[in-house]
Amino acid sequence: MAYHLKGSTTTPRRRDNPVVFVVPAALFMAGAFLLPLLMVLYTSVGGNALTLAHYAELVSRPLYAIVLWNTLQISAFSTLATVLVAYPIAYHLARQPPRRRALLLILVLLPFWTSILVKSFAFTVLLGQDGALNQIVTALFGDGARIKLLFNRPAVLIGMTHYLVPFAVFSILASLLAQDPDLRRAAEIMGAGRWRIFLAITLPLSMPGVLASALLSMILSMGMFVTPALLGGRADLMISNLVDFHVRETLDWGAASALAACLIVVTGIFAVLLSRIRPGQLLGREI
Amino acid sequence: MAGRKRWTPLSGISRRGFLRNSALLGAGAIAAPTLLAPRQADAADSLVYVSYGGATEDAEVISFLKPFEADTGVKVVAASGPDIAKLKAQVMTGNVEWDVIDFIGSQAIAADREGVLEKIDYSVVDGTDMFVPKEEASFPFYVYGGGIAYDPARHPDGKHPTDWVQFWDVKAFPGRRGLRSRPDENLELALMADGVPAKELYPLDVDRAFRSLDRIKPYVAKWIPETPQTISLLQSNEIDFVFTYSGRVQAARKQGVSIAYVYEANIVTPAYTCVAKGSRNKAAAMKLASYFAKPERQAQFCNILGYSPIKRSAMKLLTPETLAQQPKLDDPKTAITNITWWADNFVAVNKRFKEWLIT
Repeated sequence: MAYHLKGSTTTPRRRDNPVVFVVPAALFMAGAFLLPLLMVLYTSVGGNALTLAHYAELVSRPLYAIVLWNTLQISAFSTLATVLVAYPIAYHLARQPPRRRALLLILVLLPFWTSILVKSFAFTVLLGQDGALNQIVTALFGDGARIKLLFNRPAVLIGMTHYLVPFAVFSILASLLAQDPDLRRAAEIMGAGRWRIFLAITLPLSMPGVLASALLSMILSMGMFVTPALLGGRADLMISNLVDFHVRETLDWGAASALAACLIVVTGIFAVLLSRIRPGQLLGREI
Repeated sequence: MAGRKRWTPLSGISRRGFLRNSALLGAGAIAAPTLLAPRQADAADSLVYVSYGGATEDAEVISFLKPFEADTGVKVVAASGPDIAKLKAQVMTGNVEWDVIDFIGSQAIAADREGVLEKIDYSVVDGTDMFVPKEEASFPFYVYGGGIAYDPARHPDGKHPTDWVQFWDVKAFPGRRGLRSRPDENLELALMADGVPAKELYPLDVDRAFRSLDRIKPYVAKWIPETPQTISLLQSNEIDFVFTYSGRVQAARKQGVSIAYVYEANIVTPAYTCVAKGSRNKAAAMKLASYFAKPERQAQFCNILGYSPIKRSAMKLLTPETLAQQPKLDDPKTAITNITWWADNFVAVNKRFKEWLIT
């Protein structure tokens, strides 16, 4: 985005301190996010007691390590699937005329208007033993071909990917639309084919959007628990399930806060790692 | 959704009308603080009752809240979602919105241990003549039964288990099982499946229960987190035999679902009436609570939902249909959840259960 500003005709005056524009958002986030977050950290060490007992509990039992590992695995795979599904959609949308694109974007947004609980129940109808998918499969290949797509890891990934795709489409689409079409035209004039243009120009230039969408999907999926609980097998327990459990059932808000703090740290590490990758490195060359 | 406001269409505004409306708006703004804080304004003649919503709440309004309102003139607002965490937050911040609360099973004890409940005044509430004993800060007013449900079209009589030994017997009764994804109730079922008599379950032999659960584990198609799923999975043929609750089965049958329920070998859990600590109108709250201990009120409630009343004298007020559709509390095969045992052991057992589930 930066080079767009530089190229624009009205040069911003030097006295416009950028900090001024961030103040309202920063104030809001301080009150609505930072303060509660500090309260969570404060609760996790037992308030004024400043004890690490809650954290000791987390390492003392295998439960938390297994569930954290589950959470990371599920999040990573659903993020990968999300980006792979969202990219072609965003690419197609970027090539449409604006009016048509706006119409198609509404379709992308449709899943947002349905509650996650309802969507999860709908997946039971689609993926079940007598579900729509299995009826097609058995009609084509006989009864033996029935596939188990419910109450296991694939069901969780399908459900989560379905939820995450709209988020990813938007950030990838933004980076595709920000590309200067003259670059592609220049490449075409120089004799590059469609695949060459895509691989050498469009894809590398859209990598910031892809990374942003991956980061967003990863962060969102680390906090999910309704979909894994409804669609998953007995082992598909997520860390947020345990937070919810400690908050509402055992009322052990210290343990819940310690778990939440760990989740924030892990998510934070991912955010930092992903933001440090330079898009060129991913494709093995500088751009 | 109930309080959706209607706005005057903009096109119909005349200048005079606009001025008049503006004046009204100004008056409204001045009056707003009192409108926004109705609880403080008339705390003396209104109470908030919190329960589990849906059909349960509807039946409670008819059987308990309306008669109380008619007798005392005190208005009761029904809200849904009793949650110890929310109540604890209210008590901690000194902003107690709730007065009388319905907590299920060991939640009532857990809430009392968190110090968020008032002691029940048994000079106002009649705590005698009960199937299940009263507690210091709560008393039971009905029990709901959990048991085996199946689809009679797929599994006619003789083809489905009728108790927990049979439910565990996958050779005699082949089929996919469904159990809840929490330890309470499951441990009791596992012990009964292992031959422990229903009336001698407590204190639970946790090790033995987990050994018994090991046997059924491979045949459980889904450990079900949400209650509605117990019915919907049976309906969509994902599961053959499921642990669910008699009230849910009755509601599903009324909607035409092919589902049947075994009223023997049930585990019943009491639901408790509690008064919130620091209720703004404690005397009226206690009076409302006393209605939940009246046999005729309990009988009316149970006749609507098919649950069992706690007052022995309420039994003779039940309709024949209700009596036919409920677990008998005195039956030797009926287990009654011991909420004190669960309040003492829930945290430790639940951690073990979750570890057992994911490994």
